[in-house]
Amino acid sequence: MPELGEAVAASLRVAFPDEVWVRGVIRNLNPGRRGGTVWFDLVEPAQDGDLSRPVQASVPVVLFDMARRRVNARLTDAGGSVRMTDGTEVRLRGRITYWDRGGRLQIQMSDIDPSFTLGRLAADRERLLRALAAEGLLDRQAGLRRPEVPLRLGLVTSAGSAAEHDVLDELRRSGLGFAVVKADVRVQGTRAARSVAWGLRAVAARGVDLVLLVRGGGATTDLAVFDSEAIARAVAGLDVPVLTGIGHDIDRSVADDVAHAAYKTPTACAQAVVADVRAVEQRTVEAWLGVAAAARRHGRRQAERLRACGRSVAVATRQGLAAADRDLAARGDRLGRSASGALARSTALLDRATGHVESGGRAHLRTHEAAMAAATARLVQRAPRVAAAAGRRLDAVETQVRAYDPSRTLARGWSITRDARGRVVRSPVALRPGDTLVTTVAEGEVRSTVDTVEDEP
Amino acid sequence: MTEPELGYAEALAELEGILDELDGDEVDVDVLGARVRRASELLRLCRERIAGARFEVEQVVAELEAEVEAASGEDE
Repeated sequence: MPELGEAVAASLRVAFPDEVWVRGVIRNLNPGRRGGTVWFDLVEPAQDGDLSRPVQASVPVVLFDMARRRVNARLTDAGGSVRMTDGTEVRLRGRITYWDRGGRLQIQMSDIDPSFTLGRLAADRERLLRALAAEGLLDRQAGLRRPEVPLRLGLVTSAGSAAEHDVLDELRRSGLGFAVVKADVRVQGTRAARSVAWGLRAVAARGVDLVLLVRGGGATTDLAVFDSEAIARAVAGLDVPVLTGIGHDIDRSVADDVAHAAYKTPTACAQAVVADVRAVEQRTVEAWLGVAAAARRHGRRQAERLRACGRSVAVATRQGLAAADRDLAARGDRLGRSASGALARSTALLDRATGHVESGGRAHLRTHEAAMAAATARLVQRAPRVAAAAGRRLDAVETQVRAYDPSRTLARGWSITRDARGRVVRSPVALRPGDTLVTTVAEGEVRSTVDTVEDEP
Repeated sequence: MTEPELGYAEALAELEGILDELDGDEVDVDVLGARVRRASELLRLCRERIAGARFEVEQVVAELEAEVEAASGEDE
């Protein structure tokens, strides 16, 4: 066995006499003890770059303590924005060796090329942005309407992280009734992209108004996951606006570019949401104050209008009264004048009428008197003649009356016979023997009794 | 009889509508009272919507973890 190992090592030294530069993605990084040896795999990921899928090629890398110091210094010199973490694509230098105790080929790392990593990240980012733009996904979120009152929030971040704490603290301190649906996701490592994409869809499925995707500050490589296609597509595909608060100092991540809005830090992201709600609350209060002010203004205006109305009514009334007074006075004068005139006229009229009546009466009387006088005169003239004629007519009547007087007839020997009941007897028919008869003669009466009755022959 | 829940945006829009109406001069005094009453109702509704609810946090972590585990388990 030792001979085999030695033979393999020797052939490797022949095949790779110098150190080589190798490109690959860090996976299964084991930081080891502080200041100790670091192990990881350098892999060629699956076609789509998804590190959670089976890789195309893999080689173990060992970074001994001495080399690690040099590598760290190199990263620090590059600005500290590149870190060796799972999922980071690196270009590293090392010697190909055979580790006979482990029985495997490995790279003994001695140096790193940070500019490669940065360049790759930038290049990947550019490629992805172009692809998203071509599919219309880059601006899709920007076109979504941000809800006016986002009170139900989805929070996608690592549970227990400073970013989560900052956001929740900001929301809680606002005193507003936020409801937060929290998805605990991994924000670094090979599973980060997939985890964050799941988190985004999970909170969106809970019917939130907004999604907050936040992550505390870190090196560029720590945040490289937010340049991943999986997260970019997850963000762009949501129908809920996504706000990012990914701790970037300089660059924007693809997630930032795709999101509805991007903020520098998780705190700024939360503050923006609070400010949104506050603004609407303020608008509401202002609208109410406006309504109240307008109502008061209206009230005052109406009262003023009423007062003005009252004033003009009063003025008009006074003017009207004055006019009426004047009118009345004028009328009174005229009436006085016309009344006395009329009185005078009617008095004259009456006088005239009285005169008529008096003169008429007197004339009438005089006529009567004249008639009377004439009649008297005629009477006086004619009376003796009338009396004489009357006397003569009276004498004739007396003569006739005398001619019919029964006493004169009786005196000449005629008598009148009546029955017992005083009826004049003109026929013997009604008489019976024994009836009493009373006969009136000139000198008296004779009572007799009927013996026999003989009808006139 | 209960009215359908009015959304905040609708309530605010109505409130601003009332304001616009009152900005005009042609508002009857009787109507004015009704408008102010309605505006105060809307304000109360908006206030309740914003500050009435309790701050609360809900977790969807468990199912998410399971899903991620299931998804990443495929390649191992």
